Amino acid sequence: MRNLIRLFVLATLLGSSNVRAQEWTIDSVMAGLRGLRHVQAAFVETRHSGFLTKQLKLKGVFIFKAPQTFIKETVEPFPERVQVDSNGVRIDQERSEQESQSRTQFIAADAHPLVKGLVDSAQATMSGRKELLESRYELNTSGTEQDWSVVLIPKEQVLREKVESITFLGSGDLIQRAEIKEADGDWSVIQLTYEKVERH
Amino acid sequence: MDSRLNSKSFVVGLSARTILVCALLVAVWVIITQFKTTTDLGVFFPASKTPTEKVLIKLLGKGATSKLLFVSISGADEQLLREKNKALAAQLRSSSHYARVLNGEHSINETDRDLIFKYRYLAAPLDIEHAFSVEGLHQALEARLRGLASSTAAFEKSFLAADPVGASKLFIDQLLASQDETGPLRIDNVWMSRDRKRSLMILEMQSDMFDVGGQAAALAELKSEFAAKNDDDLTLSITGPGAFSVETRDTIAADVRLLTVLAIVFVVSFLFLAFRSLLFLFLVTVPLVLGVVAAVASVLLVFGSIHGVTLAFGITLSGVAVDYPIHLVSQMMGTQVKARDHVKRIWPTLRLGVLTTTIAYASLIFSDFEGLTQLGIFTVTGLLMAAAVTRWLLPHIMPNRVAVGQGMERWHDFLERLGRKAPQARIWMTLLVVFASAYLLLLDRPLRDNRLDSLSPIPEERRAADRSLRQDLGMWSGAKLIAIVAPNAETALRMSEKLMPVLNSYVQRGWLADFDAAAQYLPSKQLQLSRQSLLPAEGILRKRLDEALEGLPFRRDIFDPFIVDVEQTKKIKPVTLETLRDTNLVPLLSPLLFELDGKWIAPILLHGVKDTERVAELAAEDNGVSIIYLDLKRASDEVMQTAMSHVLRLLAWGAVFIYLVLAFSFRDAQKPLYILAPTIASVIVVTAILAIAQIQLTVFHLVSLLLVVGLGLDYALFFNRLTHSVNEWATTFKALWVCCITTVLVFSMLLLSHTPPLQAVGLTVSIGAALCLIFGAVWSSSTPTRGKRWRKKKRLLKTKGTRATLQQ
Repeated sequence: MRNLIRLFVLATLLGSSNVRAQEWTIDSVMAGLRGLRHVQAAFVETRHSGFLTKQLKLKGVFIFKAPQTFIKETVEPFPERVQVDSNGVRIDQERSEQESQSRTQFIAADAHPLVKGLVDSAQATMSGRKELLESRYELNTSGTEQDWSVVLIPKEQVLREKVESITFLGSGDLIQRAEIKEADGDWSVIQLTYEKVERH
Repeated sequence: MDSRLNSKSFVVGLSARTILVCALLVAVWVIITQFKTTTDLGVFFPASKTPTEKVLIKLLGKGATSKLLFVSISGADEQLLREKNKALAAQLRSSSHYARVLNGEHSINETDRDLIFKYRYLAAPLDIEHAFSVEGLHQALEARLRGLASSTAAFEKSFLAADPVGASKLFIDQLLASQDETGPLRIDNVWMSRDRKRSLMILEMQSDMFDVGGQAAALAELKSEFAAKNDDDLTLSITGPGAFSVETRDTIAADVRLLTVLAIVFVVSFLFLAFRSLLFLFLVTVPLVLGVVAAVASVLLVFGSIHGVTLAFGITLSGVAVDYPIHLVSQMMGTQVKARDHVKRIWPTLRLGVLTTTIAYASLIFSDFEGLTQLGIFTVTGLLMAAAVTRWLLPHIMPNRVAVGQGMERWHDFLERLGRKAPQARIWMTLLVVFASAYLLLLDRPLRDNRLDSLSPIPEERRAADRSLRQDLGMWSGAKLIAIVAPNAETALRMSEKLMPVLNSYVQRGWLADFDAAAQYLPSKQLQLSRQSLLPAEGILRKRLDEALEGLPFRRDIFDPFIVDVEQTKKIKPVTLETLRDTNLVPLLSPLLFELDGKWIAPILLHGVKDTERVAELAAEDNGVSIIYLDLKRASDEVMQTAMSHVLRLLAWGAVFIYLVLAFSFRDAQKPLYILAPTIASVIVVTAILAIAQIQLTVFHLVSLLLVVGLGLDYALFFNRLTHSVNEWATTFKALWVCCITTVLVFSMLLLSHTPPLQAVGLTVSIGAALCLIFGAVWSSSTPTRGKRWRKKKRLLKTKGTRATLQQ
């Protein structure tokens, strides 16, 4: 589930502004997002968990296809493929030895309020529905077109229990980095390298 | 000597009357005090004798599933469909009519989750010895690490500290496994069909099938709640066993009401047109009404209740009884004979008619269908009572002369001319029968429909709607299963557990797609206690955990909740059906484990069976526990086939008996053939007509053919009775065609019915009755054929007769 949060962040990350406005606004992001068609980026994610004595490092590819399909394929350390679309979340995992075989898991969009919050938010973002995003998060935009940041702070209790804040950092119309702070002190940082960007 | 004879017969008559009246009073009393109808269609399934058949019947709708309703809402965009679904569900949850409302919102709630978590080390499909060994713990911790590095990390974090073994995850995975791929979509917490055109709901009513009234109230509430807020013109579709039992009751009730009214209107106007006498109408109905009273009472006395279908069929089958008074009254027409004397003249023929028809109907009593046994008792009692009333009561309450008019004279003359010429057509009719027989013998498709489905009073389109809803809900298609029959729930669960690894291996080898078994949801006490005893002591567990953490990046101080919970688990009592009673696991578990006649049945529902033989080989008998492999469709059809063959055998014996009775009463071996020939010919031709119309015979057609036999015998007996007088032939003939048209009228009404079985009866009997009259006339051995002289005499008699009536 935590990765779903990252997924959302990634989705938002990729939707960067191509509007050459002096002041960087959330409206610019939304306009940019609506223009996206196909995006692919390599990611490196660093996770810190209070249960663990060392950090986890994840590597893989992130893909967005308009209108609302996200795929996150993790290659290291454990292969996993997550697909989010309007039906919900489909997860293909290679199981550990304990469970012997690989399997597919499907979480309908609203298996859990948290998943719903994330899927909805991501979709609101990608389809450029700012109102929906604003109803769920407090949005703080700062910086210039070349070097900007957006901080999202969840308004809903169910999400606040898990996520403290999500920060996007970017330059031009590309988002470079996302930072997620979880309520229990865990955090993770995602760094993106673009391989393909297609717009409408 | 004469007077002595008279007084003796008077005494006999008096006591017969007294007995009749007393019997009728008792019958009325029984009806007033005990009247109760049922609509449980199980009684029209063959009576279950073996455990296999019992399981079968139970699963076919008599069981726990009989409370279920499958609901869909369609006709708008999905958002609206879900909103309506949620609103409706909320309303129904507060209703006292519904025990459970499942629409995806609460498939496993917090309480269920807590319960599962509490019993995780007893209930989860874990090898405790291995899971709590150093190696097992290490593997589990590796799995948790994978979890933390996956997209489901938040979920892993929620149980990691208290359950590093992952027992709760295993259990929930298993629980939800079947809902994953085959189940409905769950969007916004509401179940949707795969095509997203319907939102779905499963309701469990409080009332079971024995309380159709309660079920009807629940259904009515559902419909009105929906209608009250349906401004968007959405469509509500309700199927499932619960809905069908109410619908069946309503359709049958509505059919019976409508058809009774129509039949009465038609028959009354027809009889009035034919005889122009209200008194006649009244007299004709007396034996039938009293016969039905006695019949209802007899069924109530034997079975404690009467089935709606028995009542409807019984009254129609007893319709033959209308013929008795018609014979009595119409044949008195124009004569000077008193009713009580006239009845003695026709009594031998009438008695024979009643006797033979009764033999035919009585064969139903010995059938394997409780419904048919009821019907047999009903009709036999009804006919005997109607005949007795005609013989001993009616002549005493009717005036000696009934002013019967000559209505429909042109009809009568026309039919009479035909009837008189009928024997000339013998050769053609014989040919017809030969052709019909040949057609039936050469027919390359089965004549009989042995499918249990075909008995269902539920129209095919409703059954199709049910199938599609069940498919959307991802419910078991109901084809193949293994049933465990055990003396108690514990034994059944142990056997279920024993079969699980076998079936799992079948799934892996592809012989089977999947299965649902009670043991997946509830392990036996034995297994739980053994798991409990294998949980390590606190000190040992800590030591093993420390070793298992070797080489893994987990902090060592986070697993205290786990140690505490394992200690707790050692002290709790095993989870039982009782523990789960109020949880949402019940709808999952109840079809998989239930009590029936003191036995516990645990069906293992099989999905996608590829290798039927392998699965069938699992059937066994083990220490008082039976494992039965059931191909529901095939088994039910086989049961049906056996029962149908049984009915046919009974009918054949009935025919032999009827022949013997006739031969004995005529003291002649050949004459009965004249009586039986038209009857058998009618049955053959009706059957051929049905076959040509591509209609396969169900048990309801058989019952109808039985009525055709009864009518045929009745007509043939009267056709062959009177040889002496032209006048008598004419009146008898009129009585017969009136009887016949009455029957055809009544039964063609059934064609308007909405219940397939009633339609079957209507078609068969209305064709059969007409054929019986035709064949009866054709094979009549006593039709006067004297041309001119006969016609003259007849005209003379008629004028005399009319004058005689007018004079009164």
